[in-house]
Amino acid sequence: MQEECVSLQVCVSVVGALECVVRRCLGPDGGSVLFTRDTGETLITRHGQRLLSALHLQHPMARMVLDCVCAHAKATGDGTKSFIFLLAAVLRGIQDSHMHRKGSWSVPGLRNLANRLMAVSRKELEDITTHKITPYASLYCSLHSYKLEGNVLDLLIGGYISGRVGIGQADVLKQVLCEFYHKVSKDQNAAETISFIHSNFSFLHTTVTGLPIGCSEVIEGLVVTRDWSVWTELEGPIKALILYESFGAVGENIFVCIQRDYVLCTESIMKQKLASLLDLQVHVILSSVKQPESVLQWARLNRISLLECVDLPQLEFLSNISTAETLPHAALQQLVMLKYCRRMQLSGHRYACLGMFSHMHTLVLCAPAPGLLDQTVCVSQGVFAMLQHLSESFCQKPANTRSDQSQNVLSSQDLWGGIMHAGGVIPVGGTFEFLLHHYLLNERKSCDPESCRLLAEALLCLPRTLYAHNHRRFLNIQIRFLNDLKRWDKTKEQESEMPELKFGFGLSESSALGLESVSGKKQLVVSVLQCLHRLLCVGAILHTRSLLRTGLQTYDEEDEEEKPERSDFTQSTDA
Amino acid sequence: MSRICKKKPAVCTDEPLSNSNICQKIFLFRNILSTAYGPTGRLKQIHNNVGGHVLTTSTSTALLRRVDMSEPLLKMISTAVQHHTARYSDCGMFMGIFMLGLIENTQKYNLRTITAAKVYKHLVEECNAYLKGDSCGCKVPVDLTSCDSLIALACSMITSKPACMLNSRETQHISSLIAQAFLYSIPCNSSGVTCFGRTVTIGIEGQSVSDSSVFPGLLVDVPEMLHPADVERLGSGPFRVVLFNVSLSGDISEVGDVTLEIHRGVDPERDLLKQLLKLGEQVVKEKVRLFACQKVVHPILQHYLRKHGVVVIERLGLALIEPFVQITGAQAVASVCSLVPTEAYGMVKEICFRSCGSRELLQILPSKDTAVSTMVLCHRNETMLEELKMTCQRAEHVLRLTLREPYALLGGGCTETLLATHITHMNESSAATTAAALCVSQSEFLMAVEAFCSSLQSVALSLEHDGQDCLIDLTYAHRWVPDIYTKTCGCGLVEDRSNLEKTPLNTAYHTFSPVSLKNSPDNQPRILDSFSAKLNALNVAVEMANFVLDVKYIIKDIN
Repeated sequence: MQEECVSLQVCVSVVGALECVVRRCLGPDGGSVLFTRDTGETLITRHGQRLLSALHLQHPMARMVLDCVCAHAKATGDGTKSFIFLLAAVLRGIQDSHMHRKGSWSVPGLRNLANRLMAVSRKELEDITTHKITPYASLYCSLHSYKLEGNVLDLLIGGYISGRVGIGQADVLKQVLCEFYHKVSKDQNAAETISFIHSNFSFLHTTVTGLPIGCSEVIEGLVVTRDWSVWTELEGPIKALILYESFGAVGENIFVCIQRDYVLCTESIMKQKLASLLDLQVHVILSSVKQPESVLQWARLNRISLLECVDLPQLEFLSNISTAETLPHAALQQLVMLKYCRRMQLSGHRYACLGMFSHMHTLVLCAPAPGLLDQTVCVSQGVFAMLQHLSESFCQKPANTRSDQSQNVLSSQDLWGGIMHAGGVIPVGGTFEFLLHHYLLNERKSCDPESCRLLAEALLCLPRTLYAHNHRRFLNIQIRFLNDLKRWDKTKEQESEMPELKFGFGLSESSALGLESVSGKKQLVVSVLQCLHRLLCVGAILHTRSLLRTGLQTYDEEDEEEKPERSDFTQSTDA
Repeated sequence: MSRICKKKPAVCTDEPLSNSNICQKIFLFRNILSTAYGPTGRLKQIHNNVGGHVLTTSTSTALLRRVDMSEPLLKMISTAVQHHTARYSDCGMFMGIFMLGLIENTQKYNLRTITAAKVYKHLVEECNAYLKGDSCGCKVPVDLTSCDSLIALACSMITSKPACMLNSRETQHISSLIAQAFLYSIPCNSSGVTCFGRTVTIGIEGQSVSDSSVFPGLLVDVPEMLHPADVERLGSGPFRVVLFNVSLSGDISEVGDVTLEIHRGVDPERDLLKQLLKLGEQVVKEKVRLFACQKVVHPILQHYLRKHGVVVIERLGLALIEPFVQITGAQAVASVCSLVPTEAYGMVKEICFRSCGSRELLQILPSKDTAVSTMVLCHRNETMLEELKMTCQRAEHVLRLTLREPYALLGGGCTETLLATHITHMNESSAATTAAALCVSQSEFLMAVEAFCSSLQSVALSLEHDGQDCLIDLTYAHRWVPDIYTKTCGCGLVEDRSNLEKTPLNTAYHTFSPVSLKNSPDNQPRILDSFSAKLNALNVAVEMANFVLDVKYIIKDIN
């Protein structure tokens, strides 16, 4: 058994290595990272979580950080790159402070510090966000409401994607995503729409390669990436049959007994089956499997459109959203009503397009090459994950401030407007970090000024990296921001008229203006401090060769499969 | 307990574009593309070092499909070009050279990625606006009422593929065939939603190119045992047709992978044959004259049908089923057990023998207008024939694209020079305001404009392979070669005259606004490029270049 001592030094270098990879992709000015495997797979991404998960992390501490990052991403859907930066900055801050003290941090001392930081995150951070930052955000938004009104969503999406796709593509993608959202939502409950899009995104988009991203569009109806095997032009509402099995299926391990006239017998069985379909008056058949040629011929003769080999999950999705009626005599057949059926041309292929009675739309995402397409799809999906987290946190939180009835049905305008006025969003580009930095330093009541200062200094690393190419700009912005803030504080005391806060727009010179969620940002700080706590509490790593079983012996089945595997991995890969 | 091998650490490359090894590979790739570009492009021969097939080509599609890139960035570029050509069939080389030029120039001028991306995006939007606008000097409308511009378009496509090995007379012949096939594939006098017809291509090796031709209807191989006399005996059409898409071989293998249990005294194959003959009887009774089957037909059934004067075509193949259905209007019958429904019968106007070079083929003529034609292409050997077939199919596709956007761009490098001149001129005066709007410094902006325009010009420069200079005139901004015999510019629109001032393309010259020429009927450009294809290539190239420039880190997993 090997023992490896974990010092602060190790933590700093491990997190520093991660930071080094992530540094290249931060913010709108960042670049992307290309992964390749010998198998020919490529992955191009700027997405923090995908980036970190794709790395083969050897050091157990690094994998622990990754776990924390994933947990955070699951909670907010945003901020994974900032997570690594902040963590690295806090660790470096601790290291520096220890150098000043000219004595090394003892393990209990470190643990103590970690606990104190956690306490700061529980008390001071909470205070500052509720009493200082939220009012600021709310005030900011109301001052700029003439610019923000109606396009909060655009700005939120813009803020999210600007750091994840190249500069030229962000605008186009933002427009098409907003259009998609508005077309799907159409006066429906906004929160529900978001969670509907988020959970069914894989069915609601289709991809095209070889065209620039600007050609992306939104199409009415559900696009199925198969061509009609039998196609007849049909009008108006259509009754459609969903089939999950082949009509000619014989099945496996079956004896076929050939008797006299068997040829005619098999034929007549098929005929009976098909005749029963005619009784149902269906005009469209959607099948998840290939049907025998004779069914195709029958469909052609009876002017019925037939679509074969539809993706099974997609077919199930279709039957779910249009409340399919299952036929009593056959379990694997369902009836649905369709608004229309079309045959459409997309990127040189003929696809089927099914019209729904709900506001169903399909997002068509284009990109010149598959890797780039993958990135675009991933970002679009991430946008809706982020929006869902935001709308969820908004709908849960202020139950006391709003009446119950309005909580049930929120239109799109209400939801995003509500979030904006409640101070739920703040301009991107370091506003949150500047504010928190300022208030943490000036918090007079704080019982632990040392930890506060540590955190406050670390926070500034984010805007500093964002403006890495132009350090003077960073200083200018900071000075201007502080001046603004002082004026704001002064006027608040005098209760006179508020001055215009230019800060957020001052930043937007180079990047498009965007908004981000305050609660997500707060969660980021909390998550980082939790992760730090976990890191600092580790005293030593033991490299064993035996099977690791931690915790209770009674696992859930899922745990049982995952955990031992991971511990194997830990042992075999030495740092 | 399964062992897990220790993974090797990944190979990381920071700032791949400043890595000299990668830059060298990019340069090599650009060299391969630009030397193969245009009508005088050098052919590339691709073969495996252990022998096997040798491919001679100069088209981007064939070239890139066969060449594996070791560098992931180049692989991405190569896939992007292939995906473009799969959609638009043309301008793959243009896209590749332009894209690599942009990447190289950005490195050369040492521009920041973010600046370059913003400015390129802005410039390509300007290009789009200019090319789509009415005042565009490098766009000519395609007149679909006369076939001159169609033939010119097809001709420029063929001349830019030197691996087809055609002389000028053969080029003329093939381009008029392509235009003819394209016109055949447009359905006339139809209302509502219509579909394009299709052109079936048949290649015949070892024959002179001038034997190639286009026939209306469908040409299929002559079935064995069919003699011209049999066809003559049919008399004049129209004839009734039946088409089967199941096997009529009389085997019972169709049931699938199951265990069969056969009762005593039952002979399933005899039963099936009996059923087949019953079908035959019905078909004969209903006066069917052409019996076609996608798969195999039982010899006894064939014999029976022939005896009753029915022409049998078997093993038609899946590819020909759709055009066959289109020309006959028959519905494919999929069951041998029941009688053929009356709706399933189709009609043909005539069946006749055609000899194309050394091969005898059976021509099936549709009874009504169905927009199906067959193009028979002949060439001296297999490699050339392969290239010619591909070129013809692509050229026809390009012609179809003109229906959506009925324009063509000037070929011969004139579009590139004109566009570059226009963009430089446009942005010179407004540099300060545009740069401020894009949040970049003015000098950076001007450098990026220069990088963009010189990349465009480098495409025009790549057309020349014999060491000659390329010139640009300072009035119309068309491309010229210093040759005493050529009296016109690259595209053939501008006539040379003594007072036309010209300067080498890659030297500095003052900016000017190109004078646009009025299109007159007697002055038409000789060389045309596809409008839609080039526009898409331009956009995709800029997007991909921005994307490649954006890659800051490569992580190569070598496990």
